[in-house]
Amino acid sequence: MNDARRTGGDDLARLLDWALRTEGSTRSVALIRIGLVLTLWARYASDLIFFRHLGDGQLWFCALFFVVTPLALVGLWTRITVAGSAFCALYLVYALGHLKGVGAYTHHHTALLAWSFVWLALTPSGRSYSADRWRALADADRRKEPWPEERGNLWGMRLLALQTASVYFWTALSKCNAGFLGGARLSHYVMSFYTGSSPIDHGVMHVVFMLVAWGTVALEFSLAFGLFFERSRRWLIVPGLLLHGTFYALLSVLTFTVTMWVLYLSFLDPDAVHRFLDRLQGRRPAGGPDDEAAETRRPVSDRAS
Amino acid sequence: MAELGRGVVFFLCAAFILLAPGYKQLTGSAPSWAIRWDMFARRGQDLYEARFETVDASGRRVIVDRFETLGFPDPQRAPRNVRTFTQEHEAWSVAQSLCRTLGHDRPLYMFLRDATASGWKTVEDGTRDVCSRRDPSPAPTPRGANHDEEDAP
Repeated sequence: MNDARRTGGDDLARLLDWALRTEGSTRSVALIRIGLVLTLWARYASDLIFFRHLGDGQLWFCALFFVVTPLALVGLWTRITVAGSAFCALYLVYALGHLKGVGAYTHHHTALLAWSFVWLALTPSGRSYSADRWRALADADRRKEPWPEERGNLWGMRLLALQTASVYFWTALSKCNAGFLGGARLSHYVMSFYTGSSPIDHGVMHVVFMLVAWGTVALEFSLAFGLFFERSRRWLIVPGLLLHGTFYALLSVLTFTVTMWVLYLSFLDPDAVHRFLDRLQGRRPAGGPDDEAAETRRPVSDRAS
Repeated sequence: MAELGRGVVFFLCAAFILLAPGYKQLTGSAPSWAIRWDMFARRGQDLYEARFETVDASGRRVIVDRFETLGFPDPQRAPRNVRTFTQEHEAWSVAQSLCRTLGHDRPLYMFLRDATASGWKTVEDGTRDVCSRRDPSPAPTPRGANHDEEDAP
């Protein structure tokens, strides 16, 4: 009984550590920041060019968008400009999309992008790959102090991971019905995008549609849970990336694919990503870097003082 | 204290992320702005699948290629309302054109299925000659009137 209580308590402590106390390299969230801002631009920037909004009272918003999002991209005053970008993304979906009736802004891919920015705003994504980082290094040089580490509390990154998993879980659940698992809904998609009203859901193709439907749902449920665990993640990342690539090539998902690809970074060990990038750039970590990284990755409460 | 605040915000955000989509998806009654992850849930539900058959000289059923018969050898270049039926009356309209082209002395059988959320719903099962059909074809309804509007992801 005591053991069971201790195990439950340990699990809760591990959950809290994972959620709130994980410190790690900020390179992953910096890459997510850059990826999301570029995606935001790909989706909206041309719609927000000033001449398109001369009479609709949205010029202030266009100006805000074109000020804060480039600053977030280069990482200047990052905490403020990423929060500003999150405001812009939410405004596009909920104010212009839902309130003012711009239907194209109310879809899943735009909502995912907007809420991802909100969670990103809760992370110190400006401590790597940013003008803020460059300023911090210059400041340290001026004071003859050691350079600050590219590290921070990554609780916002955990929310990004939960967001990604939630997308998988609910989309898989929405497919758990006879229409989808019987293959008919997939045939509707193919007919809608490609073949028109000619019959395709018959014979061998009916079996193919059914198998693809079951495979899609199984993969999405697996991604919803499996991406959190290293052992299953290694088998799921490539199928997940391919799934979204296939969606982009075959359907009309716009920025959804690239947003999900970027969000996969939130599942990876940030220090492993850091070391990978070091290695990619030809830098060998000096002086037992693995031990150092493992030490700083551990929750603060567990570290030797 | 900071960690407590962070914990409260984290678990509120996590609850929103994980549970909010369920409200819309499980009840189906949430407002349109409520968050949901049911991509393509309505895509293609405005479609009908149609196949046409007639009989050859020996009385055997043979498939009628509506594109060839109506003078559109390349289906990709056929008019939208010949290629893709989004209203039942469009299928009937093509059936009538086929009747005229084939000649009213030849029977035409139509297999027509409506794409719905739960799969296929049979509208015409190909058992009767639609060229001799007396009741008028369904009146056109505004596009999307009997189905939800298409949802992009």
